[in-house]
Amino acid sequence: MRKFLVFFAIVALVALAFAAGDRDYHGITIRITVNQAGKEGAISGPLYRAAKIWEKETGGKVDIIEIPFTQHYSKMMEDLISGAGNFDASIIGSWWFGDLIAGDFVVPIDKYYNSGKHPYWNKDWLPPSLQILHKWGNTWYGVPNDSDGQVLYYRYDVLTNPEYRKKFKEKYGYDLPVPPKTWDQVLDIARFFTGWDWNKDGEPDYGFVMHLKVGGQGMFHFMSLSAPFVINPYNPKLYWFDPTNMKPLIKSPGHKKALEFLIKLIKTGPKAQVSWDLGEAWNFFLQGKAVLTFTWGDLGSLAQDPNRSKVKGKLGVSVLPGTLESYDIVHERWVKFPKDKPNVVGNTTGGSWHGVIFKHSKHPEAVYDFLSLMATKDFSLWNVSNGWTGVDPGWKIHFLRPIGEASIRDYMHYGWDPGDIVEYLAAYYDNFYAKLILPYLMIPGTFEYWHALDVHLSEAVTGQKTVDQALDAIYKDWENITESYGRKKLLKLYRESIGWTAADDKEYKKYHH
Amino acid sequence: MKRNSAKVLFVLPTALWILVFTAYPLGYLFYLSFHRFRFGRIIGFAGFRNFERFFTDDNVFNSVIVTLIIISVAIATEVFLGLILAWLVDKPLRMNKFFRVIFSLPLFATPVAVAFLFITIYYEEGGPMNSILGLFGIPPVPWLSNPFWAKMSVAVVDIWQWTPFCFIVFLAGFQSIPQELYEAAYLDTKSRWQILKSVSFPLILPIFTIVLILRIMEAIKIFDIPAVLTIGGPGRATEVYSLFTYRTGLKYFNLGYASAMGVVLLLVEIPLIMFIVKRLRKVIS
Repeated sequence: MRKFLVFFAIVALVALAFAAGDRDYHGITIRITVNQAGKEGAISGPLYRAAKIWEKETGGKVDIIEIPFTQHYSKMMEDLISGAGNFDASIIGSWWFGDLIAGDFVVPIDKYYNSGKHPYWNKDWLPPSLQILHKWGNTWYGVPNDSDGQVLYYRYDVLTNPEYRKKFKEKYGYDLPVPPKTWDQVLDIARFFTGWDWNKDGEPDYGFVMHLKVGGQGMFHFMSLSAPFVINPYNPKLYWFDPTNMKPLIKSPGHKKALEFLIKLIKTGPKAQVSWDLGEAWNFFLQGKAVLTFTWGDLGSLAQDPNRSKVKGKLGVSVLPGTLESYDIVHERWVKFPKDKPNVVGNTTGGSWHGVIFKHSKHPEAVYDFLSLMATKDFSLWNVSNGWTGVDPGWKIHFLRPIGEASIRDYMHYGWDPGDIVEYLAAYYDNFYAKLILPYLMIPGTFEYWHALDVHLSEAVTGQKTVDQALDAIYKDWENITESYGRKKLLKLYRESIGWTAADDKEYKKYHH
Repeated sequence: MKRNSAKVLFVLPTALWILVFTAYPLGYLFYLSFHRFRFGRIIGFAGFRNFERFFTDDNVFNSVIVTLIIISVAIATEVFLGLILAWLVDKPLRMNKFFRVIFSLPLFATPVAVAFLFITIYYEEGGPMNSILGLFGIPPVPWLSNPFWAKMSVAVVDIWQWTPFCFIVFLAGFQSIPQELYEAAYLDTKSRWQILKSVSFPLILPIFTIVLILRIMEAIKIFDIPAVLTIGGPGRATEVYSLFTYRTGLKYFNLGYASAMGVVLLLVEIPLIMFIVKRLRKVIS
């Protein structure tokens, strides 16, 4: 009841904001595609809620077209390529951006944003790491909604159990770190908790859990994990391709070491995880059968649901661990870091699902008006705090005061455990504002590059290919993809997307001939 | 002149149909296979580059092998089981009709729905299949997470769905054998195996060939079960040829390369189908 009252209060607030404006969209229907998850589901649920408000206040109509995740990109692109023009907008994953920009399918939103006529949101609420996912150069194309990045979730209650800590120290010779600061520590902890009944349910449990099903976004795990093996203060930009010739960097010693590490880590989880998608891996952690996992913000909000979770109030969350050694691709050398200051790299891994407006839309302003409603402070805060909506926190307005604008009560109001929310938001702040961030691939073909990464990683983790063979296969596939698009064109777009300058070239060419 | 116009008028709809729905797409397929299609449009002439890539692409080779493994296992089992079940049911048994209906049911389910159902059945951590095996002391089988078992899992679903087809056709075949032949055979032997081997099987051989050919033609296009059940994984362990082509064309929109794949498949299929049709005619006659 209380939730409903608050929801209607938000409706009223937004209605007031609308009343002040002069927007009238009577007779206009906008058609928006979104990943299929239903009226209460992740990402699509908030869209239905926003549609209800928007329709009431503007007289317009929102037609929400749900498409299964595995087909969403293809259906959207089919529509755009064929010129059918069935959709006005889509809630896209950021890795589709390159194809949309290169195909000239989307319109900039700056004109509407600057007009001041639409529901208010502020670009500066987003950290620079997330801003980048919504724009090309300095032009904004996406209206923010979700904030994706992977953080480490651990069972605070288990890692602080004195008996387990004692046994851990006896076995590994150092105090069990809470939270673990390096991936090596994570591996030790995961190994320690694998194969015995630490949750006392009568069955052996696991140290780690991941989702690695082909097509189930498993490659994101590798990206986030490998980031500190490749990105470091001496090489903050190069992870995907050589910026001088577009040759893949995937076979670098850093990537190789990261994949070898991933394979070791997988052995501390259930064998079935290589065929699991996100939901299955999340449930495994929520049922208290694994001590550690790393994933998106969704898990934090799902953990608060007593019908689904046994870990509410037992959560520890931190930025992903770092490494004590990282390969510097620019200078072709390994760099070492002190034990107390590992190389930590934040990430915006995932979709950060947000709206874009298609060029052929007859009502771009109405579409913008609707999308911007979802980016308003009240609506966005409601999305990230009110149970699992698929919209994860990452903006200034979501973080707790004094660094942000929200309060613990904002979250406790919707049933969050106070300890969990403090840990959770702090971890996300550390992640999105990290000094180093894994560069996000936003060029045309990213969908295809990442699928190749996905399947060959899966081959490596299921023993069908060795690490070298898998990396070779990825390299070969990526070269084919680059050739098919045209190396020169992609190179230009890639350099633009990572902000590679002539000065960077000069330094890089000293070490690469 | 009038008579000729009438002829043209009658032929025109068919000719138009063929031109629009067969000749044009086929021509466009060949045209695209020699072009680079990216950024949602043709971006240049590719010459034979798409074909060069086809013959050097490990993923193509993998998808052909995967398809052959899955359909070989599936077809061999379907034909064998269909034959045995039809032979068993082609007897004056009690509940005979009931069994015929039950054995035919899977054929009417849609493959996508069946594949979703089997995701649950194959669930490895306490799923129904592994729980049943556990009752007999059999350790859990990694149905979808192991490359070998994933192939077998796809084949099992195909077998579950298509054995009824073989069963129905074989049953019709058994029932078309005149009763007098069996009665004559009973005078010589009481062995059911001997009768099957020397009477039933030779007479059903033409039907057997037809079933085999029809199953090969259908199975070679296998797509929906692996596309839903395993999405081609783990790795590329269940990425069949049609799934790979679909991904290339309609997921990555590399329509030039996907068209080249289509052209090669067409060039392989035309002689195969001609052989099959020739064989079918022979069998029927």
